[in-house]
Amino acid sequence: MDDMREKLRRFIAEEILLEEHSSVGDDMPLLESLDSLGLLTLVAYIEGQFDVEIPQGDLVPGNFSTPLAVEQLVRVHLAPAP
Amino acid sequence: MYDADVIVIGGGPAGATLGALLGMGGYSAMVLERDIHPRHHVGESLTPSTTFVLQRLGFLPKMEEAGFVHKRGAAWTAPRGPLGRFVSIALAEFPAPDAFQDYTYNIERDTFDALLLRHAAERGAKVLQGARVQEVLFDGERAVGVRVEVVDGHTIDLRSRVVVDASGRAALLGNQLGMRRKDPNFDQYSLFAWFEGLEPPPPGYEGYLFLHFLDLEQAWAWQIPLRNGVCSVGVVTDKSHFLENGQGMDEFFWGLVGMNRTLAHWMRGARQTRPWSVDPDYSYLNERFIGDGWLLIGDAVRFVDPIFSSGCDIAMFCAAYAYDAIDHAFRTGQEQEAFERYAKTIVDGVSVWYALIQEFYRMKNIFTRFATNRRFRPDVVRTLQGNLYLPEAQERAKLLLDAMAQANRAVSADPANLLRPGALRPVG
Ligand SMILES: Cc1cc2nc3c(=O)[nH]c(=O)nc-3n(C[C@H](O)[C@H](O)[C@H](O)COP(=O)(O)OP(=O)(O)OC[C@H]3O[C@@H](n4cnc5c(N)ncnc54)[C@H](O)[C@@H]3O)c2cc1C
Repeated sequence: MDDMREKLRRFIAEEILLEEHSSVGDDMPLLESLDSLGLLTLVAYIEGQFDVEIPQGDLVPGNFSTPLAVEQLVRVHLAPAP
Repeated sequence: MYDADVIVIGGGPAGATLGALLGMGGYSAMVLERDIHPRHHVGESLTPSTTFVLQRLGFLPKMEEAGFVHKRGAAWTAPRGPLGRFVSIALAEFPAPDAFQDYTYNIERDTFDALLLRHAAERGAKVLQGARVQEVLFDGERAVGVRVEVVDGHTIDLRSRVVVDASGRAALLGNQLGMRRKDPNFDQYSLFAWFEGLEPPPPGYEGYLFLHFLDLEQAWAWQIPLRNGVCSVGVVTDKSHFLENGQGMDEFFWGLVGMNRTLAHWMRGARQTRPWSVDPDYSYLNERFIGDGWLLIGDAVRFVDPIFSSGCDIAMFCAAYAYDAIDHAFRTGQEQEAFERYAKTIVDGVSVWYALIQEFYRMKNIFTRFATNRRFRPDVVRTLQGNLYLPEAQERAKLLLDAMAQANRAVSADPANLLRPGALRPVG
């Protein structure tokens, strides 16, 4: 799971924000630097990398406010159905 | 006595393609072109599917010889994304089953159109340049020929079994018969020129068509890499935004370029090498496009908006289907049936393009969502490859469009959704 956190943070930093990996912390506010292409690139990465489907209805501010929130979103969809 | 089996008005991609096919089929065709090629023209990026028609004409070797830039994909940027970040699709990802190359072309239309028209002549069509058709001649309801101005003020009448209008947006017959209507939903204007000194795209994306979305409703810019380091850059906006308050073209163009960070950055050292071309008022349709002894092909039928580079695709497929219809009519005498089948094929295909354009403008983010989503990406890529005239392509596009429309409704009904236009406005 820490592997997932690491991968997500790296992707958000290097592919979405085009910044140094180390400059992105778990609690960094994302929404003010995220644009629509960035959001959808991130969602496509998550879906491909972790083999989950993020429903369109989940594309709301709460799920993308910080790298931590994104991580939680992924975990929800990774969790096996009860 | 006929001067030709078929008279084709206009020697653009539509007219030249039809001229070549008729020549190859053993028919006598006369292509009448108002201008003298090479002449400048807008429309410089081809869909992948046009290569099928170009191959049928035996024209691809000439394109390779001319060295037209290979276009392997398309990419797009958002107005406020970080510099240089884009989303892309590659042709090689989901090639059509019968695809024989994983690229299409960007073309300088002066060179391309001149070569294609010469090719038509080599395949047996009679090509007359500097010959402006004034009107189509009718005998009752039936088109029987054209009146053409060969020298200033001097006209001759030419007769043929079928007349094809390929006059592009001049829409000669559409205007003559009062069939041309403004499009009810679109009123797009565009301004473009050629530039040198743009920042080259990152390695692996050479030849890609770039679309840059602007911080303005309905507006975007194209960046089409041509030969010798030249790039065509054009902006498209709704008429209501075009040249506001007596603005000059430079000011207008660079103002729009400034509405996309990546485009502005890539163009910071660009030098304009060609005068501006303005294409106003180009969204229209014709109520009818077949009749007794006549057919319309290409832009003469309808033009809406260039977002998907569909113009030459439509022009050349119209020509190919028109050839089949004319050939059938000549062989069987069943002209009406053959022309009606042509009309249905084209209406169905062009309607799909139209629906895609509408869906795109309704919500660009939905388009990007579908293009980046694993489930839908193959269908998006295959649909945008063109040739939407076959039933299976139309079926695929229809399912895609339905899914997009549904996604659109869901997003519109959800005030919190981040795909809503303007929901994400990154600062700085
Ligand atoms: C802003 C913009 C961007 C575009 N971008 C693209 C793109 O990236 N890719 C793409 O595929 N398409 C694009 N298009 C569309 C493309 O330009 C056309 O669809 C294409 O040129 C249609 O070919 P055609 O042969 O039907 O018409 P044309 O290429 O216009 O040819 C018509 C010919 O008829 C001649 N003619 C006109 N009147 C007469 C007459 N009375 N007598 C004799 N000859 C006559 C003209 O001189 C002309 O040579 C774009 C269009 C616009 C407006």
